[in-house]
Amino acid sequence: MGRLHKRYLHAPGANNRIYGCSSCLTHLSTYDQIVSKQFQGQTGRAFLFGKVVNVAEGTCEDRQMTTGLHTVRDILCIGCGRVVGWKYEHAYEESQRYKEGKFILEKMLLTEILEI
Amino acid sequence: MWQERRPSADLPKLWDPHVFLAWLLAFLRSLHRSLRRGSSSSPATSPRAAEGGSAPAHPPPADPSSPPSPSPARAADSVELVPVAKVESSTSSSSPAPPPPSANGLLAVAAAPAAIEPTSLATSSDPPSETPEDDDADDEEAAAAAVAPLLCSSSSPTPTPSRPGTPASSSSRTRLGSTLDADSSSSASATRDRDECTPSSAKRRRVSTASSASSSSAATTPTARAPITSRIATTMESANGHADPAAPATAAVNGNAHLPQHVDLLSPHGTYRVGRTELVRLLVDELRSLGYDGSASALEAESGVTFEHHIVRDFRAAVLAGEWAEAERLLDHAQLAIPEKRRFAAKFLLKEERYLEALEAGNVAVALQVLQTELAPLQHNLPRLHALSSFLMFTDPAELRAQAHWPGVAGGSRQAVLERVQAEIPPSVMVRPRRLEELLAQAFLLQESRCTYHNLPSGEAAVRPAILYADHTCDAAANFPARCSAVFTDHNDEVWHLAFSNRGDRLAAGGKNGKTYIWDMQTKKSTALLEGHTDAVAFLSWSPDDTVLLTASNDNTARLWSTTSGELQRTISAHEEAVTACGWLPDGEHFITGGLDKKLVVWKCDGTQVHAWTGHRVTDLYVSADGRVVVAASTSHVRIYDLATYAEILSFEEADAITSLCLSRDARFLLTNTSQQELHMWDLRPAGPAGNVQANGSAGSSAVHSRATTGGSAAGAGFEAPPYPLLHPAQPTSLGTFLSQWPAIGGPPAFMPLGPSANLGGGRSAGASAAAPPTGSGHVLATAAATASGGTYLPGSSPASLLRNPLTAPQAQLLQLQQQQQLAQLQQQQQQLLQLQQTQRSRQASANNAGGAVVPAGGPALLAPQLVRRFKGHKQGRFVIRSSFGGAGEAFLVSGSEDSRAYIWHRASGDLLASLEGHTATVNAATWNPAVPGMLATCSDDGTVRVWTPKAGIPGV
Repeated sequence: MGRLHKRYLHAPGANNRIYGCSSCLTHLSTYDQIVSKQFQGQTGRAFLFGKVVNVAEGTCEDRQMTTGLHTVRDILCIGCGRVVGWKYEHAYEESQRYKEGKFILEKMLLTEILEI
Repeated sequence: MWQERRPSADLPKLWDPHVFLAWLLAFLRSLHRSLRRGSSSSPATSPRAAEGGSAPAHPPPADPSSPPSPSPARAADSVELVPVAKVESSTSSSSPAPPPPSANGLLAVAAAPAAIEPTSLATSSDPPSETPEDDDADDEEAAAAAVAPLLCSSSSPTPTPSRPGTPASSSSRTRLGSTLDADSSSSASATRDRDECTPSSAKRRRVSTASSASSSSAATTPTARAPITSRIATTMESANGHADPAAPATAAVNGNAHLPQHVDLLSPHGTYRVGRTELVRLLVDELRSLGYDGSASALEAESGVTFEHHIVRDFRAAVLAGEWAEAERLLDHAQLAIPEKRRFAAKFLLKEERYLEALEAGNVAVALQVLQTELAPLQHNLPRLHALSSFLMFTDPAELRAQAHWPGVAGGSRQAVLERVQAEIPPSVMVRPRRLEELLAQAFLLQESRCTYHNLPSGEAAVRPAILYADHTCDAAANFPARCSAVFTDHNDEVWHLAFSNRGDRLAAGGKNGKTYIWDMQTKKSTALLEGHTDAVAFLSWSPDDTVLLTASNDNTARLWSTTSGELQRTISAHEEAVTACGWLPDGEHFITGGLDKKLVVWKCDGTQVHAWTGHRVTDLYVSADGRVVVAASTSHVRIYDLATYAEILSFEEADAITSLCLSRDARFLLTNTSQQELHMWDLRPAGPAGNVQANGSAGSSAVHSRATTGGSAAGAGFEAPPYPLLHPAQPTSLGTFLSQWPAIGGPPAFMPLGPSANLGGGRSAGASAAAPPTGSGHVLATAAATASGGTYLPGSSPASLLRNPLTAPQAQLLQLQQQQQLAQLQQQQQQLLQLQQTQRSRQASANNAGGAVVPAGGPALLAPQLVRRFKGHKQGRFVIRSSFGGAGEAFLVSGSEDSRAYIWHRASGDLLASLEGHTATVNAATWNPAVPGMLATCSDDGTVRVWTPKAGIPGV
């Protein structure tokens, strides 16, 4: 596996938080990247993020979501390999196009990391 | 596996080696000719002989049937050189020839000058009564023996007398090759004599005559009178104010009007036209330094070119003898052609030397007198004057020498001061000593730099055998590591990092299982197992004396181990997250660790913390070999800290995340592995615009010179603003200057196109975009800051700050002079550069996403590092892949890769030279043996460490 090359996020400011993988603490995204908190994942609430780091992407597949048909791929934490959410590649409905290229991370699998 | 390197003929050519060697060959040839021609002139063909018509004995008229005597026109053939190979082949093909058709004729002609020149007869060992018919001239043997080696060792085809029946060749430029063909048939005896190198009686006589002619000084030879007169006329003219560097050339033409004034040196990239006089003067100098004084004089006499004017000679002698009054008197002589404004500086140098010598000798009264009545009235370089006066305090000569950075009379201070004064004198007036050897050394250096697989130990101490006959080439198989010679499988788990000991005799590697093994490179056996880390070992570093190994681990600790017993000596557990990298300071008593807990800590060996920088996660660090700086990577940022002041000197941002970094031994070039599958080489000391404009401008040679005097500080202008001695490696020799200026070795200066070589291989587009300043914004910032503060790019505007630098004070003084002169010009250039940079920046904005340099707020303006090369071909992105400079002169780069291979690039060209196959999983790190240029090692996720050596093997390893 080699020594993993992980990105480390920096979150200056009072209202900023780093979200990491709850099992291995690998940095995944920050509070200011959250686009929406009104999402549901397989384990409960999920957030839509603009940018996510330290994830590997799975293969594309079409999934029927509550908001319609989407082409998505699972994203896996590179630290522990756990599926932490998915990425929207394509939305078939015009109204859902804003999700394309964005990521869903499930809240249950995230932990807030305190900046040292 | 091996990739052929594209032709590298596009490197800038200073002295094309082909041309140079051929030129040298041709000159030895013409020299040989001159030796014999001096003894074989016939009245019909030689103007000199005609001038010497009043001489007691006339040589017999040329016999048409005898071998034609050398015609001046032939000798005049401008040496339009053909490739050396052709010359050689034409020589070797000449079969042993029949005996001379008319030995008598030859002898008669050969002896002519001896008869003409009574002085020479008187001064030479030849008995005056000797006639050409004297066959047994045994006493000539010594002289012949003295000259014969020259003739033999020259190995150049001896040109023999001219083509039959063409005393005045219509073509004054004949190719050497064809000449030789003609010669080899027409002058068999000479060829045979030379080839066999036996002192046959005929040869002896001929040679001795030549030597007798040459041993007489030019001035006393009647035949040489005409050229001498014209030379005096020229020198008088120049003494009257026309200090024309071309004056000697005029003399040569006067003396030998039929000779072309130039020699054309052919190269694949055009013809270099060199003044004949220049060549002759260098040759004369070289002959003298080889010990052939007679030949040198003969050459001077024949060519009518003197090596240097007697004023120059006297000046040199006066300085070396410490005759200061005489030296200063001669300094004013117009012949030295020192520009008025520089004469003060030169005089100051001489007086300063005189002052220091008086002090050293304990002669304070004299020193004081020099200081008060001579140095002070010059009103030149007052800070230096103040420093000088403070030296009066030192009574101990040793202390004086140390404080004044002055070697002392015994230490060659006079030679040094002569060299510094010489910097003010046009090189055409006072030739650099042994200039020809310097050029040859440059040719070798250039050839080596163009040799793709060149991997032989170098360095100042290394003495390398070199041949002049052919260009330097390296066999790829001989010195280049391409064969896996050992596999260490002890780990049985992923191996993440490895490091050779400083002496190169051992290799350590650590990995995922937390174990570190040490192997002996001779026996290829494991000598120690360092066990104790509870998580993966991510980094290793050998102490300077190789007795202690420092390991950094993901278990948040760093540990010190004995490399012999494998015993744990100390555990550093102050980090709160993984320790990612570590490094030793050269004193062996301090080391540095960096971790993901945003700490970069300097430790003493006993575990006490000396200093800590905080605030940035350290993903990799590298301590420079001289221990002056530490470079730390943090995601995409690079920060450089001074280890003396603990100040952050510089920071800049890569376009993408940095997985690892590595510093060249001279701490000038930084190699970063980026997650974008590229290796980037950054020049941390790009030449400032000042130096660069000089180098590009019309004053090319003077720029070279000024760099030589300032010890390369112009090249380090970017870092000069803070006192930062590391970045001023003294390169006082012009060879050093050459090295530092040569893009293939020292990297191109800022804004200078990388040249075609950069576009070879690696990445054509990369080369093109790297040519422009990728950190344009940083440059503009720095420039703006410098302009705003009224500063210049030149190092240390204030002389006081200069004196703190390792530059010797007189160098600083010269520098100051240059600064004054260039200040106005520089300010203009800065304006132009600003505009240029802005246009470049807008043009390159889309192409370059590398960040700009961060200028510390309120701090001095620093030049941004320049991205000088990109290396592509390997694969990385997920893992930390490590790379290393290596090979002889750190001419190569090696990097691991995620495609189970290791890749080797040519550092200067960016060409991918080889990919090493053998591992079966990601190659995490690759490192070159610091002591054995032909050995490198790689470690991989497949659990093995592999050692790579040349196919032919390394002797003793």
